[in-house]
Parts: sequence; structure tokens; C-alpha cells
Amino acid sequence: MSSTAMFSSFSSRPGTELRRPARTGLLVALLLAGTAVAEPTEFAALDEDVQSLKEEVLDLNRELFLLEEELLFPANTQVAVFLSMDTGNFFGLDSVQVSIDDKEVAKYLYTEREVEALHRGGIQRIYLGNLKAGEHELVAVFTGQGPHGRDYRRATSLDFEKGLGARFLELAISDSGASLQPDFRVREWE
Amino acid sequence: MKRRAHNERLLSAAGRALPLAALLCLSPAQADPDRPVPQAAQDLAWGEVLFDFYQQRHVPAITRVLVARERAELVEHDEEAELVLGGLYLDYGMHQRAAVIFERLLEERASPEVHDQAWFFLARIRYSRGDTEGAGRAVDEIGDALPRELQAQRYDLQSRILLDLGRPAEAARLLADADLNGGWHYFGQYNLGVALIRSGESERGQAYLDEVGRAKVRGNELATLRDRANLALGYERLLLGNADGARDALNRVRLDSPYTTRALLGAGWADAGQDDYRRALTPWKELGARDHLDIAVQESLLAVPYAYGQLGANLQAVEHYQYAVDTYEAELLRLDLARDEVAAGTLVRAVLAAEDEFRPGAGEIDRYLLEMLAGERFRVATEDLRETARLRRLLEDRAESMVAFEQMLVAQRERFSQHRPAATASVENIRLDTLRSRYEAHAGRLARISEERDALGLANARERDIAERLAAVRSAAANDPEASEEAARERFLSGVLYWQINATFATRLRQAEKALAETGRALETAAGHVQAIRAVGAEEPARFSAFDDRIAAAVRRLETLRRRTSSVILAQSRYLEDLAVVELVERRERVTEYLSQARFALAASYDRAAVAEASP
Repeated sequence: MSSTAMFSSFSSRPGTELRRPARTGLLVALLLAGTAVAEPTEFAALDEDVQSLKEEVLDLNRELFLLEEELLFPANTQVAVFLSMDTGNFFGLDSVQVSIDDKEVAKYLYTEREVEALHRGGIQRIYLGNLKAGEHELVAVFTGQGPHGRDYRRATSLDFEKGLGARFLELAISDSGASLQPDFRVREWE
Repeated sequence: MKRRAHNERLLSAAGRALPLAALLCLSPAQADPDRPVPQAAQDLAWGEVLFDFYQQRHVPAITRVLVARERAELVEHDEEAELVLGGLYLDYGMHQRAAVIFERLLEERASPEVHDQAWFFLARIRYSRGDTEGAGRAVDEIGDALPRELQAQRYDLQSRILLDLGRPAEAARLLADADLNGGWHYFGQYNLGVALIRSGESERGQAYLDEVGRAKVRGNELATLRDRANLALGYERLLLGNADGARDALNRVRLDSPYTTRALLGAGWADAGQDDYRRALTPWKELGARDHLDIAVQESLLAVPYAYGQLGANLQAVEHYQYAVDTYEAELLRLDLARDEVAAGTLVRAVLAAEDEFRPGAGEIDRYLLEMLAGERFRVATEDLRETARLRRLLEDRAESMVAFEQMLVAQRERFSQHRPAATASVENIRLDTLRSRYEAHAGRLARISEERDALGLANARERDIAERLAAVRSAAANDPEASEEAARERFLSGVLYWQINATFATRLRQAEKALAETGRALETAAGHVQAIRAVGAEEPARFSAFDDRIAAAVRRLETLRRRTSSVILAQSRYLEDLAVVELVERRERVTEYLSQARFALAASYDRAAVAEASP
């Protein structure tokens, strides 16, 4: 909740100092003496400009996002790796390292805010690149804190076939209720 | 038809409305540890949106939704995406775009949950833009399907609307019935108390403020609210002549609160109101040790000698009035310097240099900035300016990437030109028709073998060799009447061979059919590659040309937007400087008036001292 919003009633009411004992009346009156402030219409016009500017920048950003992917990562060769995580009771993620065909393609250190976003259902695209058609191997190494706060390092891998279309792979970290251990898998998306 | 399908999908979103509400109203700092476990994203793109959304990264989140909508990537989350996009626009200060989305949702016969949320957000938009009556109409449209996570905000908004419309009694009834918990309860009580006092119902208003002022709360935000309630209550009681009650409330304000100085000043006036000037000097002199920038401290500089005067201590009164005059004069000089700094652009540079939180620097204007930032309008103006500066940096980064795009395109063209002849030749050398004919002939032969159960048709190379040799023996024996023994042996061996092959016929047939299917698939894959290579050869020049056009258009738009962003930053800077100057002028006028009073009182004190000396 926003305290400033909640305080707005107070700040817009007649100042309490105004009603102090009369002996300080002049001082009090000064506290309330309103001086002209910048016109609200000036702010409204500026706000309109800013909103319109934001809209255009966002639209351009959308176009550049598409342009970048289509130019640099055409669908025929595109491969993307994502990372997701559920509630994370058994694993606190610190970093992940992704290799494809023995070549490191991504290494990422997580902030608390990013981990929280993952816990709440966010999915991070950790790598976007190009691969030739054929057989490939993905290896992901996760580090962090495992059950009971102990240092934890685990790897998972997947052999996959890259065809003519884009390939999407998801590194999924989940809690295994049965083993009370984290579970690391690679899922293929159609 | 498309519209109807869309409506139906929206209606079906009802079941997911709760997680959506949680998603819209919770920020990371306010995350509820008991929040519902999030549903797994059914679309990767939606998960990407949430990853940015939960980090309050508005530009990437909005961009990702726009891209995903264009590519139809949000098959399973289409409805949520619409509401979230509206919420993102609203949070990012794009009220107009947000309003368009919410109004469209309402036009599309939304489900009750979506309907109520859309009206709630529309009410917020209207209220924030000063359309209180419109906000009131919107909030009246909210039914009973608003998710629990938004209820407290709804009552808060509705009560503030009623108070602003001059209907405190209705606000009181609403809040009494709302059964708000936690911090929302106290904020509601506080606003109600202030509104009742404002509308003339002082006693009732004081009771609400007293409740907040005595509350046992956790966290700085609520403790600050409690201080503010005590301050308001104390001054109200001062006005009504209830000095003891005023002191009681003011004494509850913490010593390290933003309201401490005003509480100390008021406490002194409560004592002075009972003619106990000696006691009044304690809080007022405590104020003198604090930063002279503070209005209450400035006022105490006059209050202290006033009290000494009332106590008959004229010399000390003169001394303190002189100190007040010197302090006010020094303050006026600093205010003038600060105003010069604003004119020289120091303020805007300081605001832009602070990435997240402003930290005071060495300039005179920095002394005043923190206090100015406590004001809503000034704070919003600084945040807007910073956001536009971030947009400019984004555009600059994008402009740099355009150079990389152009270079990448050149490289792709060169590579294409180099490889095209060889690729074309290799494709031309592949005789797909011949391969297909051979495949079909082989398939036909296998079908015949299967149908006729032609075991020898599935013989391997060694078996075929043996069969040929036996056939040669048979042929020779046929022309040699004395070779009856060889003929018999040949018949025996041929029988064994046939039996061996026939015994494994089913297995051999399965293997042959499997090998044929694999060959068929390999042939189709090859055909796909050939087709793809041919397509690339035919389409790539047009694709390069389309990229040329898109890059050129993007470069032009980037340039236009960079110029526009700079001009908006200039306008925002001017606006911010105007606000600062207004604040500094107000302060100057106030200090000037204090100075005038201090000089007048100083002269009067000298006169009294002179009269006292002259008296026998």
C-alpha cells in the first residue's frame, strides 16, 4: 500500500498549525500562505506528451525485438533455453551454467529478486542461439543451497534432435515431495 | 466470429481470476508469504512476461506481451494477458492506454471477476487524474466478484473518494462495515478522523485519530502513520484549548520521526497555552539543536526568545532574537544560492545522477531536495524525469544495436553469395526423382515378396550366393545322367537352405519393412532439405531486402524518438525546476517574514530592556 496516497487527505486539509494559539497567529498564517504553484494544466500537457512518447517507444521496442530475433536467430536454426522453478523449498538457486555440445553458452548468477520472480511463476529465457540441424547435447549445471542449507551442485543433460524449426528447451527445477530433494529436468517444448 | 470466440475465452478465465488478482496487486516488497502457489505457465511467452512483471521491469514486460500477442504465443493465457497489460500500462503511468484496455474488456461482456477488476482499475485511473465523481461512478459499478486481494484497496479508494466528495458519514459507514485488517484498517481510520474534523465533527474525528495514535503497530510505515495521527490530534486539541490532551498526543510522537519537530513545537505551545513558559522552553530549545532547514525549527527560533520575554528574562530574549536574526539571514543567503543552482541546472543533474534513491550532495539545493521529495507532486515529477531519461538510454542502446544489425545483414549477404553456387550445384546433383523411383520399386518388390511369401526373395548375400551355386550344380546335373548323387545332394541342400530362410521369413520381412520405412523417412528429410535450400535460394534476396527496409525504418524512428525524448526531458526539467523554485520562494517568503518579526521583536526587547534600566 502506498503511504503517500493514504496521506493525501492530510496534506490537503487545512494545516493544523493554522489553528494554534493566537499569539503565534502571524507565524501560523505564513505557513499556510499559498504561493502560486506550477499550473496543473502544465503537468497534464506534459503527462500527455510522456504517455504518447512511452507508447511510441514501446511500439518501436516491440518491432526491434522481432527484428532482432528474425535477423539474428532465424526459426530454422533457432534454439532457446528457458529456466523455471517452483516454490523452491528444497533448493535456493544461486547460478546456472548451460553448455551445448561441450561449449558453454550461458552462465547466470541470480539476484534475490529474480529468484522470487521465478518462484512466482516467471520463466527466464537464459539462452537464445543458433544450431545446425542434427543431434546435440545440452548440459546444465545448477549451484545453490540444497536441503538444510548445504551447498548443492547438480547437473542434468538432454540429447536432442534439432530439426528445421525452432527448438525450445526448459530447465525445470522442482521440489520432489517423495524424496524431499530438488529435482532437475530438461523439458522439450513443441 | 473471432470476437465471439474471444469473449468466450474471457468468460472462461473466471477460474483463473484469483491468481491474476494476486499478480496485479502484490509487489515484491509486499509479497504475502501465504500467497497461493502460482500456476505453472502454459505458454513459455507468458512465463517470460511474468519473469519481468514480478521484477517490475515494465518496459520488457509490456514489450514481451506485445510481441507475444503479435505472434499468437499466449494461447492459454490470452485473457490474463489483457488484464495484466492494462495493469502494466497503469503502473507505468500510461493511464490512457490502460483505460482503453479496461473499457474494452467491459464492452466485451467480461466475466464478473474481470468486470469488477476492470471497474476497479478504471476507478483508480479516474481518481488519480482528478475525476473524483467519475471514479465514484466506477467504484459503484464494482460488484461482489472482486478478488479478495483487491478488496482492501477498493475500500481505501472508495473511502477517499467519499471523503473528497464531502460525504464523511458514508465513508465512516463504509470503513466500519469493511472489516479491514492490518495496515489498511489504520490508514482508513486515520483518513476518516481527519475528514470528520474537517467537516466539523471534531469529537468523532478525534476518537478515530486517538485509536490510530495508540495502536500497537509493527513496521516503520505504520509507526509513521501513528506519529502523524498523534500530531494531527495534538494540534486539534491545541486549537480547542485542551492543552493537556494535546501534550498527551504529541508526547506519543517518536523522537526520530518525520513529525518530531512539529510535535516538539506543538508541545511547547501546549505549555505556553497554560502560561507555563519555563516548561515550554524544554521542547523549543531541543528544537534549536536540530537542522535549521526545518520549518518547525525555524519557528522555534522565535518561540524561544518569546518565552524568555514572557518570563521577564529580557537579556536572554535579546540574545536569542539576535541569534534568530543571524540564522534567518544566513538561511536567506542559502536559499538564494540554491535558487541560483536550480537556474544553473544543478537540481536536474542531481536528480538524473541518482539511479534509484537520491543521496544529498554538497550543493545548497541538495539541502532542500530531500524535503521537496516528500511532496507528492515533486516526487512524481522527479520519477517521471528519471523514467524518460531511462527511455533515452534505451533508445541509445537500441541505436547502437542497429549498427550491429546492419553489419550482421552485410555478413549474412556475403555468406549467402559465397555459398549459394555450391549449394545450388549440390542440390541440382541430387536426383530426387530417381531416388524416389528406386524406393518405390523396392517397396513394390517387398510387397510382392510379402504377398507371395517368397522366402528366397529375402535371402541375404551369402544365401543368395549359395542358392546360385546350388542352381549351377542343379543345371550341370540335369545334363549329366551319371550325376544322380550330386543331384540328390543338391536337392537336399536346397531344401535345407529354403527351410532356413523360410523359418525366419516373418522376422526378415519385418526388418525389411522397417528398413524401407527408414529409407522413406530419410528420403523425405532429404527432400525437405532440398526444398529448404531451394526456398532459401529463391527467397533470401527478398528477405535481405525486407530487412534493409525494416532496419532503415527503425533507424529513422529511433532518431525521431531520440529527439522527442530529449525535448520531453527538457520540458520535464523545466517543470521540475519551476516546482523547486516555487518551493524555494515559499521558503524565502516565510523566512523573510520570520526575519521581520525577529527584528521587530529584537527592537521591542531592546526598548523593554532600556525602560527596565531607566526605571528606578
